[in-house]
Amino acid sequence: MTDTDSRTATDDSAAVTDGGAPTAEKAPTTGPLATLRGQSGRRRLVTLAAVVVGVGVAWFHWLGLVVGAALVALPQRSFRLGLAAGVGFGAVAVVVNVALLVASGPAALATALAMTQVFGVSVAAPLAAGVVGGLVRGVV
Amino acid sequence: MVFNHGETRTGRRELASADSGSGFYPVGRRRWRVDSDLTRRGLVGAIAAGATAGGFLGPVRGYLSGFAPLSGGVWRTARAETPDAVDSPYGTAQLRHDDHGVARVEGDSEAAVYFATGYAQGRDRLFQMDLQRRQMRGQLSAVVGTATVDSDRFHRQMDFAGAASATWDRIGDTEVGPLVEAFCDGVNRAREDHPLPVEFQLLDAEPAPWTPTDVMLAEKQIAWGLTGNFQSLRRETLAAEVDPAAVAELLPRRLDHDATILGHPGATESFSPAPERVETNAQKTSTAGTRTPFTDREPTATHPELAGALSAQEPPPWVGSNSWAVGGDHTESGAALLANDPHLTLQAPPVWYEQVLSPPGYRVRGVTFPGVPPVVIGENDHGAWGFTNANADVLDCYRYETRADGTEYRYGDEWRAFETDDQTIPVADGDDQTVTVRRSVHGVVVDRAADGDKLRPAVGVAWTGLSATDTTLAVRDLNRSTGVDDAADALRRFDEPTQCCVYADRDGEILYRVTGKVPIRRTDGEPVSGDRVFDGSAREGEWPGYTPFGESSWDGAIPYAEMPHVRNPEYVGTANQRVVDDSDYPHYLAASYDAPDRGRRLWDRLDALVDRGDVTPEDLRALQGDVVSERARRFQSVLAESRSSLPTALQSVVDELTAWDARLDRDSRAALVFCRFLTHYRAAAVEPVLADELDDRRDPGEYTPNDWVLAGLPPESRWFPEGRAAAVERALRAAVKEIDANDWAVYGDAHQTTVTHPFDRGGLNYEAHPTDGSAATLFNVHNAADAGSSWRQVCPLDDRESRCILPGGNDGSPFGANYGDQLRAWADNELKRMDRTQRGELTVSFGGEE
Repeated sequence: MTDTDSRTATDDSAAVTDGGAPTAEKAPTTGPLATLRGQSGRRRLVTLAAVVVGVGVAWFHWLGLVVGAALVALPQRSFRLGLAAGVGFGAVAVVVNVALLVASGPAALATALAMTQVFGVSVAAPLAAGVVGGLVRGVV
Repeated sequence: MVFNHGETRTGRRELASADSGSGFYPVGRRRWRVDSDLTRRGLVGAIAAGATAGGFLGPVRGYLSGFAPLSGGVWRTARAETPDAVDSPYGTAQLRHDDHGVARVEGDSEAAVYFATGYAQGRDRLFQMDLQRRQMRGQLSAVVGTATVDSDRFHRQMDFAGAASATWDRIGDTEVGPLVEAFCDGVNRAREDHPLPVEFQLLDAEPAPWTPTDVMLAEKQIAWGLTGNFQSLRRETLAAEVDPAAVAELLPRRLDHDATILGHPGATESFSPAPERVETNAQKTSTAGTRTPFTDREPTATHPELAGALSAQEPPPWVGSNSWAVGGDHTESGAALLANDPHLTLQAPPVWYEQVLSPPGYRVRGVTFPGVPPVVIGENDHGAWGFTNANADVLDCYRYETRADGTEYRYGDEWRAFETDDQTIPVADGDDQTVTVRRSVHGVVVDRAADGDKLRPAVGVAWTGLSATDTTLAVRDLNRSTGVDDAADALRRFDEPTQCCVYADRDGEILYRVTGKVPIRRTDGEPVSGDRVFDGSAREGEWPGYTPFGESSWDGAIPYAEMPHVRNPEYVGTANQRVVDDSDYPHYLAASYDAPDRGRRLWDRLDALVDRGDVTPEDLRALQGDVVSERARRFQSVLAESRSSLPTALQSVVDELTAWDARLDRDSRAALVFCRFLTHYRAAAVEPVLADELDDRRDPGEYTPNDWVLAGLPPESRWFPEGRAAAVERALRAAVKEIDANDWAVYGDAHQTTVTHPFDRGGLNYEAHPTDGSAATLFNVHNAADAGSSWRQVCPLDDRESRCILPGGNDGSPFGANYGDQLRAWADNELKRMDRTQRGELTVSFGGEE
């Protein structure tokens, strides 16, 4: 058994039933990206790798939040799933940030939560960046 | 297959599928489909690109740079780790932090320890240091905005930076110069090794490197915060706009009490200046009684703009401290005991930084101001010391006769040009402002734009702190002192601020001494008091030996031997009360002193402890926690005398207050009622009259008396427009109403540790805890709890460990465990260990240069 979906890479019925936006109609029907989108196992691996790369880039610059979201969105089978993956990446960034705060010491997270505006930006920004990055799925 | 495109999304997808698969549709229509798709893709791409680009613009960029998860500067700060090893060109040293975040530094040279100390302070308090520097240099508006332009204007006109530069010019050539440079190098290394503190992320600002002049500037800030005073302008304004008698009634120079520091029976009575000088000079410079200093000319009111600007930059009236020592003859152990708690701003993080320094040859522990290397208040292996404010008068104001559009002033028989420097005040989010900095022979000229009325728009200012000073040398010598003689020698160079130093050593010696240079003002060669505005053009109030922005000889200051002091008193208690009676002292020392509420209570308690004997460190801790208010007792008399004139309902309130033991306990109902009554009584008495009499542009609150004077105003005083009882009634009604409205039950409901960060933001402010005390009790916590005991230490000068506490924590990072970990203990008058060992987790090893 391979990791290839029962549907072929050119079978866009999944995209149709996902309710994707029109851009999904013109998603590559051939080529490595299309092939990847049709292989669920590999797609998941690549998505996971994209999360790691995205977090790595986001470690150095906030633009990494957009880049990471775009990277995780691209392998998804539809525009909508791409958007969701982008937002999911943003959520991952929030979780990682909180986890690092917890690891920094007992007072760090409490202080961060008390800084409501600052913490609010740290939650809202990656989710918004996830949407922006996820839009890339609608282009490629 | 249905080709009915346009009806449903499914239909369109099907159509697309057919289109891509068969090419069935006409070419023209197919092009439309392709173009439409491209358009949609382009639109989506444009949205994504536009949103991303927007992140690089305007405030959004700042938010993302500072607060975005992972990369945001705030979170980098939260995760910041200190390198295990740091190269040092000054030799090896180790920096440890104990469970309370106290920095403990040892090294193989003093310079190595100073470098590591700079590193510790730069790591823990860099923002606080930079903020203070910005304030003193007049650079706050560059990051804060228009709200601080007035502050910047004042600090630039006072030219504190110029005074600091002159001081470094002097200190840099001494043996301490290289140590200060090592300290600064350490600060700057930490600045490079760590992400900027969270406050810089919030301000989107960066600090400049820390320099030796900045260290000197910190000294100027401390000195200004304790000795800056424009009371002479207020007195003259009050005389001009009300009448001279008002000055004597509301702002008397001396308060009637016998709780002086020197001359207390059985304790400090050994002070004995030369009697012939006392008689001669006391007559010339007497400040007792009600004489006003403007009898030779018409008083001139200071322009409200200038008066307000100056008042805003004066130290708050509550700045004060407690310190006392008990000789070994009266202690349980036979060794001397010493306690100190300076009352300063309570803020997050605290004004003090706690450290233990162990260079070769000495070990010292205590607190310093961030940005200053040595321990200012503390203890070493030989002795312990503390400071309280002496209230000495080291600032004079001058008026000038000017010409040439104010560019020249007359000085005796000659006309001199002001040294001027037009400076630009950068303002964040606003237009830059300009300010002209002027220097005169006396120091500086501070002014505000006049609007044509006959008021004083400018004033010359002489202040000892404008000269180069040796305090850095003195404090470093105190750190290394080996006993009372060393300490006394060190204090010779403690040029500013004027402080009451209490020192005790392990040989049982005690020293009380007023530090600092106090000028002997002279007019026509004769000494005069400084509680007036001098005519600078007539060369009144000259300070021989004083050179602003240069090195002073201090030939004309009160000689060291004649500064108030006593060696080996039985015990000594200082709480900012009058140092010595004018009749017992040969020089003019102070324009006024603090109300003696704490001083009287301190002497009473010390007398009782010494009478009992076997005084212990625990007794001193309990004394620091004393919450009995002499102020409340004075007002209890006012309330009792007013009782019969009050409605029945308020008489019961008065009964509750007069029966009260005057203890400001957090669970006391009466303390709550009294506290709120006092606040409203201040507003009901005096202030309404002043509001009618003074220029409308003035804040009458700047001219109201202190609570000691207020409590002493008789019922028939003109300062009660409807009589004193009416003011009491109004204040009681307002207090009861306020308490009910806020649903307060006891004092602790209203009296809490609302200790805030300068930004006043959640996460940066400390938690609120109910606490005891007031501004008038030895356990000193002001009603708004934004001022009070900024450090408490109790030092037995024997083998036992001293104990101490900070009102907050030692770490300036709000993400750290030591940001506010001592606050609760402080609020409950608990103390922690104050040992001088090098213990705790190793934070950094500093390596010598390869």
